[in-house]
Amino acid sequence: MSARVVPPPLPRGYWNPRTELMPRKELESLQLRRLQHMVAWAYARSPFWRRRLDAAKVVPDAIHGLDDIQRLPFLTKAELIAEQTAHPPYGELLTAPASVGVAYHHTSGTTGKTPFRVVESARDWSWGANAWARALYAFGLRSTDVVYLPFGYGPFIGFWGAHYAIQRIGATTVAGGAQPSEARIRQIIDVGATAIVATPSYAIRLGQIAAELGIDLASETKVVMTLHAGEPGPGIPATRTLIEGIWGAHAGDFLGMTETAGITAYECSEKRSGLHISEDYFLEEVLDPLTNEPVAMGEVGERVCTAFGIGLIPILRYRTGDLVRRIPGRECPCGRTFDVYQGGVVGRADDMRVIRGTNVYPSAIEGVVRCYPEIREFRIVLTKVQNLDEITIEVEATAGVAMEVAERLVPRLTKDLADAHEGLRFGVTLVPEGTLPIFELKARRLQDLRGDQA
Amino acid sequence: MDLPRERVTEAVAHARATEMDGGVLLVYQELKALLGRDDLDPATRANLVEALAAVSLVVHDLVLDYDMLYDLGV
Repeated sequence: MSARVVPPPLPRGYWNPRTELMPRKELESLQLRRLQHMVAWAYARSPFWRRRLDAAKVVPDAIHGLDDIQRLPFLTKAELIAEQTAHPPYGELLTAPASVGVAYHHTSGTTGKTPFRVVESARDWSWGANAWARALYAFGLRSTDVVYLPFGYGPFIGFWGAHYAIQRIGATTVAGGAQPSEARIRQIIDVGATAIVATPSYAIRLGQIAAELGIDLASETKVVMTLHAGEPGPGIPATRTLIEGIWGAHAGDFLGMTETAGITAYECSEKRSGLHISEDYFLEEVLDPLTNEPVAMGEVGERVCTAFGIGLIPILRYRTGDLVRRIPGRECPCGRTFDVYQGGVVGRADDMRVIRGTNVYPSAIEGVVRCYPEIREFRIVLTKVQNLDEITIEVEATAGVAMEVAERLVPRLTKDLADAHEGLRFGVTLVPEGTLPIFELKARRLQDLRGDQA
Repeated sequence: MDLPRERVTEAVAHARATEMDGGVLLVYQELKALLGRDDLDPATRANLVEALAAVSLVVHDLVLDYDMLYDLGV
């Protein structure tokens, strides 16, 4: 990597100031009206929701305040998939014939083998792009930008929404499509891309490949922004530092999911390591994952999402599994009244593992591993040895790093991991180059083999 | 199931409603009326669907109305 390249400051601005700057009371009143309408709509038009709300003994006009959302049943991905399995392809979720749809997508399948299928109408799809556009504009993307999307454009929703959002802002999209990383890097240079959209893992991977090619992305590209979703990346300080160093650019963090089409929370140009929640588009609860009670502001809990933007497949009280820490929007100097998820997604409820009494999150491990530029990739492997849980971090050295250098970092990394986890004993193993998988989309770095060994 | 309840209007009398808001609402209502017709050519219908999808987002973002438009094919 060359001398640090400092990108120009990000421009400040609001895509839709009417709601982004809306006083909290007015915003909450707006959310209540939209909640009432969405519940009534789902009940009137979706057989699935009619059954669920009847079973929960909730009548649509029983929603008088935002707290009444707690009367609605939770919705899980497993329930959505079960419904679609029983009534393929979309279940009885739809509020209108599927023929009104113009786009099909499905989830990545990260947490389950069967993906959840969604179909969007022209308006729903356009809304998803608008939600992305708000987010990208808040971070600083403008009509003069040229944005490269090194993305496969398959049925997983991935960065499809970002693609249309970039065009909506008036910037230029360059679709990377299905081609090798090396060709993508050369194209980023050729077209003079000023921004890229990728998962944090893939942005790092492009940097590693560029280094192998003798290309310094920070000084040889015009990229000033790297825009990320799909994984908790820029929210991890060491990962943000790594990406920003590789690209000589500002790394932005965005949170969305297939089930609700658009971006739910986004980082603004102030870069305070927090994501503003699009509260006119979503009603977000943060609950204790065990008691299901709301947690206090500033405490970590599971994000539960109700979407107002799409009505063909209503999503009410959806348990996302994302662990977040919500703080008031006023703590960010940008002026937005939307509350903030401090540090983005700080973990996944379903990713947390208890190892000999210590809570372990992959994101916390990543925060330690990314401090070592000598490490290209890592994998967390959980095993059981003589009835005791063991945790091993397999690490692969960056190309060109001498073996003795790599070997020397093992004890240091072992100690740093233990220090970050209340003294928990980690195993660290160097694996040969090319052993660990490369991720273009959502990285899966946790391998829990304990069940296989029972 | 109940009769289709397409319109779940927000019916917002926005405190800061402007002349521009009124203009947007007029365009929106006109587009909906046009898409309610059954004599539109395919090209006309398709492009009006796109136009209404876009204008509905303006209406939504400006907190002027909150409709479901699926019965109009949008």
